[in-house]
Amino acid sequence: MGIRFKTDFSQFVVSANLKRRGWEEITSVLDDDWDIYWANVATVKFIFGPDNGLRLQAGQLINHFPNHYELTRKDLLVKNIKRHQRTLKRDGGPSDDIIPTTFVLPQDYALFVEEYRKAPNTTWIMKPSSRSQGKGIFLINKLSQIKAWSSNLLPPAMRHSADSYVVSRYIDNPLLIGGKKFDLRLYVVVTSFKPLQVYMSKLGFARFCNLKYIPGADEIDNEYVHLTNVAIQKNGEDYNEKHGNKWTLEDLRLYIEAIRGVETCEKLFSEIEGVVIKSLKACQNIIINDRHCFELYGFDIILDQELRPWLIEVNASPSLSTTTQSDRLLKFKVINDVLLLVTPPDWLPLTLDTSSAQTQGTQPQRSLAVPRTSVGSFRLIYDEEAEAERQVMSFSRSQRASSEVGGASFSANGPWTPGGALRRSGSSVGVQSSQQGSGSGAGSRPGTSSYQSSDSGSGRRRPMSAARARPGL
Amino acid sequence: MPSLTWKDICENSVCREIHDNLKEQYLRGDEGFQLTCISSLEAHLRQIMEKSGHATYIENLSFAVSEQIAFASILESHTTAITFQDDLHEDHGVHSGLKQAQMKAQAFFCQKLREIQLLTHWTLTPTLRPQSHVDQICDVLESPQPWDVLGEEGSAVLGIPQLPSMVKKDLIGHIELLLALAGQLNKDSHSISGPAARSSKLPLTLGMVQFLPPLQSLQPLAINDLRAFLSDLQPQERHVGIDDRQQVWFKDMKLRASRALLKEGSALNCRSFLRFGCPQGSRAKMWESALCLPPLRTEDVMLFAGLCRDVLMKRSVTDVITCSDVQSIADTEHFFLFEEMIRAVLLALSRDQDLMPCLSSPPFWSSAISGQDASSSALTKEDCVSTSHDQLQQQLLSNTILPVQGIAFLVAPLCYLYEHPADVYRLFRSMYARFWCKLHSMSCKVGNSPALPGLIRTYEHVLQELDPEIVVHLHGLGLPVAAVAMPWICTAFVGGLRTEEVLLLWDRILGLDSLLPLPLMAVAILCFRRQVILACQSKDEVHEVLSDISQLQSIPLLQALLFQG
Repeated sequence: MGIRFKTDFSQFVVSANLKRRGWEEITSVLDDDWDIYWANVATVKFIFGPDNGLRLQAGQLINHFPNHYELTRKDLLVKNIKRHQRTLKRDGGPSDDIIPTTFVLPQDYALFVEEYRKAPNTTWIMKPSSRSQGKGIFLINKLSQIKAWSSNLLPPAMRHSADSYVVSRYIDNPLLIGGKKFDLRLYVVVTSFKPLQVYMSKLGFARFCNLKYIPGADEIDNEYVHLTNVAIQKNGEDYNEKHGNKWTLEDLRLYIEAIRGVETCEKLFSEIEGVVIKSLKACQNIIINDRHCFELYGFDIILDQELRPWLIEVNASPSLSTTTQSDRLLKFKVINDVLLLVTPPDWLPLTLDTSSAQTQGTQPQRSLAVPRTSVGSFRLIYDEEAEAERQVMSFSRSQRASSEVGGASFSANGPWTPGGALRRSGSSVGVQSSQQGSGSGAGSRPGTSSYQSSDSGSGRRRPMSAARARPGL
Repeated sequence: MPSLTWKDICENSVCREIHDNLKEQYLRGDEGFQLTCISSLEAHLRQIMEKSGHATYIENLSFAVSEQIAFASILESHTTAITFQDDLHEDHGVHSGLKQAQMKAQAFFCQKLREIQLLTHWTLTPTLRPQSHVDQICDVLESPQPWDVLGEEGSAVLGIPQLPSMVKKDLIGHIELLLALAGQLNKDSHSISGPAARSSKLPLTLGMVQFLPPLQSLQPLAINDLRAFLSDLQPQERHVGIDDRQQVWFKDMKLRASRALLKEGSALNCRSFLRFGCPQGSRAKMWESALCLPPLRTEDVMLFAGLCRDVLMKRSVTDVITCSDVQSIADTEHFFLFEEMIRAVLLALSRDQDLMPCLSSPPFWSSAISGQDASSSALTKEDCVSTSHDQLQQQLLSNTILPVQGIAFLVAPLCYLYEHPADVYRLFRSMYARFWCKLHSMSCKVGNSPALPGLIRTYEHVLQELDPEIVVHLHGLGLPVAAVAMPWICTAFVGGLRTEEVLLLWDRILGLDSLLPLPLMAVAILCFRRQVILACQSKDEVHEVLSDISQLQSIPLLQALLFQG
């Protein structure tokens, strides 16, 4: 039997990516015999729900962690990050802020008022804890504008309602390009929280406001100036449907390298990685590290004029609807790379020629436990075990310590997927499915090279082969 | 070395001493002694230069003079003393076909200009705006910089009149230039609706068919000469744009090398360095240095501000055309953020009176046509316009840079190098004087640094030599070979290739001091896509498969074209 998938999403970038691999789609709601499920959060909540008798089989993959909301709900994220910072501070480690000063309302109202009074002219931004696409967001610069959130005025039952707000210091000196404010959308995949393994895609984009940024209080209500969400900007008069007011990360890097210098640019991008890693570490102990799960996050980050990155929020279901042609290409590639990253290579037998499969098989098992450092557009930016190992090495402690670490990593999650180690342990499974796959899709072999890399003309390879194909030269 | 000027060098006592000494020897007529004297003089001079620490300065000076680099800071006021328009003098020898083409383009262009003038009631001469408008602008101008006002409010402040949508707002486009080169551009050409219909009038190739004389007599470089000219591009050499993507050490090494070179400041060395590509971090400085531009000075900013203020106070019909060309930037994926900056830069350029005398090739609208010809061909039925006015117009035309379609694209990549529009302006002006004016010229220049006719000719020639099958196939589909590449060449691949690839290609243009990489790139793309092109069954299909070249990498493709197989 081939690979079977299920999905709650109808968007092209998801369904096409699953189908083009020759995997079989399960359409029946009741059929739970899937190998991979690209689910929405409601389904995940149901699947992992305590009342649900369902138990996932070894090797089944699903695209969310059970309690991903610890990272993606704005109030919980703040709570987790603050706690993490406190721990770091207590241990005497570095504890640079990665989010602007933030309070959860109504609970922290008194604390907020205290902070507000320190600098009464600051602008703050109010966001509902659990809504997305910029809904319900507004800026304030007077306390009176949010008197309603004062916990004293709320009936006790409402004080811990789900509709809480977070209030954050507004980054009022954002980096501007062409006079416009933007934020970054970065794609991050976590294949395991314990040990933490984080991949970040080099594909991503900057989302620009339609209108030029105006500092100060005058335009405080104009969301086309302040909020970068596409869902909002799309309605603006100046929204351009050809490019959707988006720049690729590549364009941004090119610009910053020239304007601010190569070193600054490098530093910026490594600091951005730092912010991503730190926020994930903050939630590491709270997230249930189910080995069936992986997750694709959309990180939203704003840069200020000092080129300091600030985490704005994390989305567990980054928008997969597409607005422009480049948008479609980018998201298609991201999903493709996520699937390459989280599924075992033998799910894709056509792209794996037998020789490389054999070498993999003969390699010592230890190396199998090492996560791949780069897959498609994704690059491993954090590997907790390697970090730990490095620390151990730097202590240059006894052999016992290092062998312990090695042993731990061996028994832990597989190289490519949380469930990978288990799946591979039954070697017959792998052989069987690889035979199946090659049988079913052998006819389409020429097209499959694009799985690996759809950058046409990348490197020297293609032009040379083009030259060779041309008898005229 | 600001302390030493041209004058100092001329008056340097050591130099005079040597000079006198040499003269004496020469008068004595001792030939053998003369040679030794000259070589010892050279050695002596080099020694003095090195000792005094002025070696680079003098090297740059001689570089700027011999290369006739416009706006070279090192020449300061001596700039005007040097004739840049060397090929204006050759004008009498311009091939009659090209001359014909130039006249046709000019006539077409004047008619078009007049049409827009009549519609807008604006004149070509920059004229003061009505007082009420001036007051209004002065109010806005109080706090921000003039270029911000120019860019930001755009047509609102400038009061650009709305033209009926069916009026084509560009004076002359790529297709019209091609038609002119083919001798097919007539004054009624603009009434043919779309560019597609117009391109159907184009002959299949411009140079190779015997009955199409304009380009035929141009002798392009032979393939082997091109290979020799571009020999630095050989794959054995390490290049930014290829090797830096694979090897971190090479990237770092290039960056360090570029910094060392900039510190040394030799224009010649910077130019050579650019032939192998430049890291983005040093690119702006490296390009400046290769064009002998100093770091931005206050007077540069003042100059730019003055030009912007001029646009704000006076209006000209060219503003209408410029603004409509800049509009096309708003829809581009990579440059939409820079629309305002580009608008300010181009409007300022239209008021710059210093630029025209420094162009390396005369643009087709400039005075190269003698008065009689111009009046008879350009002004036929428009009796209402007096001859004196025409002469004035002609004079103005020969003094103004006109916004040929796509000029905004030539500015756009520079916005990735600078934050300040004055910087962009200065570099663009230099690059226009040296390179881009050639794209708007009907000069018969060939050799290492041809203008548009020579570039098109090179493109056709190389394609014919390296892949005749494509030429035959395109012929079969009734598609002029030149029409395929014209938009790429005229915009120097901006908007086609990704920004970084464009910048890498432009590195080579600056490094080689020639636009030849453009036609070669066009051929390289056609050869790379030959299989799909040969599979195309119609013109539209060809346009379709060539419409997206954003995934291609410029340098490997150029290498593949010239040095492989």
